Amino acid sequence: MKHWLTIIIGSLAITVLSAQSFNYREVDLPQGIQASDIKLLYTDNNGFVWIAAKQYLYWHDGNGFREIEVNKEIAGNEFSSLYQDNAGKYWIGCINGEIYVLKNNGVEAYKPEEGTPAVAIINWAEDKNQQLWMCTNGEGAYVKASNGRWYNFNQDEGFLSNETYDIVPLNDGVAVATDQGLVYCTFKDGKKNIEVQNKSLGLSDQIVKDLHIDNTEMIAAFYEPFLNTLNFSQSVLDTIATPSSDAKKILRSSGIIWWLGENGKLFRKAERGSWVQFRPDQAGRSRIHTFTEDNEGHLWVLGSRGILVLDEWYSHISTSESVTAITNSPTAVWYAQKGDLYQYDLSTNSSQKAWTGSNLILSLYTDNWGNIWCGTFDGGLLRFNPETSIMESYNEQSGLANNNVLSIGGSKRAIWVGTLGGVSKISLDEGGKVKEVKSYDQAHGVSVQYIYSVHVRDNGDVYIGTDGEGVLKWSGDRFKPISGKSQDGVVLDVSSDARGNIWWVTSEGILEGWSVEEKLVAVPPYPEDPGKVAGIETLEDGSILVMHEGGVHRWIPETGKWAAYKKSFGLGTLQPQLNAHAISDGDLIYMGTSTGISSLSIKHLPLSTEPKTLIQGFRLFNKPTTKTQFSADENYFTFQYVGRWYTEASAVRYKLRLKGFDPDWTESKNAEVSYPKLPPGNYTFEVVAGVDGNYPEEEIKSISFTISQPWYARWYSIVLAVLVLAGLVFFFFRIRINTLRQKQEREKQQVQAQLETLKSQVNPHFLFNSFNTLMALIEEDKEEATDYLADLSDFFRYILEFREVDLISVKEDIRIVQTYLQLQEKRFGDSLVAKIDLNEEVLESFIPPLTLQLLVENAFKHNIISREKPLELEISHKGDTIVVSNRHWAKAQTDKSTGYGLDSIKKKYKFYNAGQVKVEASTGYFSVYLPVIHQNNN
Amino acid sequence: MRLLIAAIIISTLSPLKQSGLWKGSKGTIAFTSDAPLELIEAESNQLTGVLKPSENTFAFLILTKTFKGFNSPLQQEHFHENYMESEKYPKATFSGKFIENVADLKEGTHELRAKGMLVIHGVSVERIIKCTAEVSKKEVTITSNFNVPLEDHKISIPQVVYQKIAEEIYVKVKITLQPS
Repeated sequence: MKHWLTIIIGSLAITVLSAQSFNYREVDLPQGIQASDIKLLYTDNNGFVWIAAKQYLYWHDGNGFREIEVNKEIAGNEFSSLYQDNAGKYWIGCINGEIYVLKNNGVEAYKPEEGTPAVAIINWAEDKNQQLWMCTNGEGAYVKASNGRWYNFNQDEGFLSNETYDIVPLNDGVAVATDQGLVYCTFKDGKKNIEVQNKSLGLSDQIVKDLHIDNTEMIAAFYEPFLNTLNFSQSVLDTIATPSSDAKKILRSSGIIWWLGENGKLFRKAERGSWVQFRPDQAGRSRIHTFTEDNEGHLWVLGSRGILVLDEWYSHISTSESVTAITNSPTAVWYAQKGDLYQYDLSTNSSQKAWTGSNLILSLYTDNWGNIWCGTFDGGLLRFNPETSIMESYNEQSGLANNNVLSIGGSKRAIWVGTLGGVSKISLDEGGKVKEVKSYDQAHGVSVQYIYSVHVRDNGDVYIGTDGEGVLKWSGDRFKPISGKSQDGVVLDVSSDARGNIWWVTSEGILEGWSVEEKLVAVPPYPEDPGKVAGIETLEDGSILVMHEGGVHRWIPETGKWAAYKKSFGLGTLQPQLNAHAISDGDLIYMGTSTGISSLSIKHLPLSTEPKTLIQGFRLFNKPTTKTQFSADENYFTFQYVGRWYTEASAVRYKLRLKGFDPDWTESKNAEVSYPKLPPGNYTFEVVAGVDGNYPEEEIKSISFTISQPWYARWYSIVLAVLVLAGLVFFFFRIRINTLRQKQEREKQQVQAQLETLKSQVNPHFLFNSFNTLMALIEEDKEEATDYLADLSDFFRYILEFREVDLISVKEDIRIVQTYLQLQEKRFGDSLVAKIDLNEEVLESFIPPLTLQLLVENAFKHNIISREKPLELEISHKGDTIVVSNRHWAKAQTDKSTGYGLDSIKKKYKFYNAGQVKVEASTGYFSVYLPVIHQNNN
Repeated sequence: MRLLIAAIIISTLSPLKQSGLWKGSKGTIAFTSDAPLELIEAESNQLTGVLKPSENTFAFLILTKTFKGFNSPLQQEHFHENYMESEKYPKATFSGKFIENVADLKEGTHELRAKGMLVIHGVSVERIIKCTAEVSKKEVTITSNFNVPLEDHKISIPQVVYQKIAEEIYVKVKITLQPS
């Protein structure tokens, strides 16, 4: 455990650095732009810093300025003001009164019906009712009412002067600075209200050059060298003298007032401090034109040489030796180097040695009377009176527990010290004189000898941090573990917050607490190794500052998050000395380091040390788009985003993913990502910027979009396609069914026709007549009878042979007819005159079998056949038509005609699609026309 | 008694209540450039000025060529050719209005603030310049001391001579105006 002592005593590095009270760095200007070209600096709602130079606008993404493309119509105009309203719209005012707005990353002229002012637009403001105001140099102020129209406030209606300098939102309206005083304007329901305040009404001067407004007060800066702070009822609360006359710009931030004069001189002033000039150029040759504060607590200053960024949170006073102990009084910081005591005067910013000693000073404490108590290594406890410069000494002889005093704490009447041999209490009387020195050891619960830290609360409660026993609390007669049971921690520093929660840090750097509810509070360690711990301080807001080698880390119980103030806060190579820290008025914290005194402005330290994420570009095929619905061929997307963290832009990393494409986060250093050839679907792009692998969930920004399916893959296309297919199938089947049915019908018909044919051919009359004929012939001529029988038999064979055949050649059908006619000739003799006249071509063509026979038979059936009225039958052809005709001698009573024979012929011809069968019955002739079928396809 | 009251009333009336212009043409203007290595001083008595109390406006003019009293002719040449470019920009003017109401000024000494455009080297800069006005019945004498930052008026100083010319030039003005 002597390890810590070794550090305390051993780290006495000697370095010399020049003192500086401002930390700043230079910002690279855009190409081709010089400081003298820059007309304005502006911080937008997202904390991005903008400049206007020549006819261009630029914003800084942390790594450099990015240009906004401006239209040509703007060329020649000089921007005089820039403003982002609450809705996010950027307004640009020009010297000549013209107004422009930013649109789609470009600039567009804004032309209200009322026209634009003819004079320079000085500044903008937005009141509580989201009404936009602007003030001008020559036309007073304008307000844009909710109906979109602009209304003018000018001298004619009591507005003090048309020449204005600034405008800020106040109460329900605005306050306008003019060269004749302050004007308060409201605009409600179309009604203007104007109130004024000038020198005769309490202001320090008529000429109000600039205004500042924050949560509590308004500050007016004048031509005369004064500032007025006013409350929101417009009463002047305070008047502050400024370094010179003719103010240009005023700002109050975290209790610091910044004042810029028209003379180009920038000053700052802490609440109780004096004005300190910011002189980036020691020769004083650089004039400062304007400044803006960003959202991270940096002041961006435009000088004639360029833009500088000031960090207000850190300053360092270099000393020749390591500063081993520190304490502060209202006017000075007291610190120890080796055995010497120094006083750093806050009003003159200079150090002075107050006492020279020989024993290394390890701890310092300022009591109620302003005496400085010094705890030394091997030299006991000393009390220095700054007024008399008398040093009193207390040691083991005076009753001190040990001569090595590591820590001092105290309340009004008691000083408690922690030593390498227990705890001592020094009681004081009303005048601050030492009454008694008492020591406490094992008998009083202090079972370990080394007491690294003593913390005394305002109510007199005493806590000690021990070497191995955790934190003990004085109970009136002895020290007891705060949790009731003993712990084994090596506690380096103990502190408590305003509520009474006790906080301590162990030698392992673990921050722990004991709450007023008597519960142990465990704090997760800082994600990265912060290096050796040197002490803690509790802050007014309840957060706890832990000083480490790697910087200062702040635990914010409210958010449950760590804020880290490291390299970029000036604290990269901090070598803090153990328990060498002091805090003043809840604002500045002083740390003794091996190179001097580092001080941090708590008010300036941002509570969150996390980048602000912004998606600032969504591109389709590398062109900006505002759509969220895309067609299937719109599939190449680029996202541009930025993590605004001016404090340390190079440390910014991004975590991003495209939900719908890949659900996993990827880390990237690039501020842009492209997704080519995205398939159709729903996507959400998410990105968040972080530092140290710490990505704040609440900063995740997203863009959702949809790529539609191609038309052929959309639901209605699919439905349509299915319907069409179903229709096709349906029709196909219907046609097929029809075909089958027709085929069936045809077959049926054919069967029926065959049956009919058979029936007709086997006409009993024919057979009967034939047999009669045969009988007669047998008697007359046997030979002929044999022939006849042969013919008859041939005829029936033909019928049987051809009834199943679809088509036969005409020649064959004629042969059947001839056989038939030969049979009938025998019967009718001369009463039958048959003539067959067909050429070869027709004979080669085709015909349904037995057609001709059927017709010939019909002729026999329907006509009187006698010698007087013979049957004249002719089968001839007319071109492509076979004509079967006969002389018509109608029978008085015919055989019963079914009409089927002719009908079946017609149907057959129709089926073969062979043309129309025509029947002609006129002028004593009956003719049937049969078209010739040429090819035997079917 | 009546006479006395009349006398009091007359004596409290502002002499500048009279309408018309107040003019002056023999004003003096002197400047000093106090740089580490060289002190440059020159002056002119050709300053002209006009005051219109009814409108609270003013105008002053000086021809830069009329400055005399340089340390050397070479210095004078540099002044006109390199810095002021007197051929190109022969005039320097300051015109505008007073913040305080001039017409209300009674006899005696008053501090005024003149707000207007200061044009030097062809570059206009809006300035508020403090001045003292000594008002008597017949004339007004205006005196003023102010600084002119060269950078504001785009008067560039070469790096070689910057130790010889101050960043800011100190100007002293005095002019008497009478009603015309």
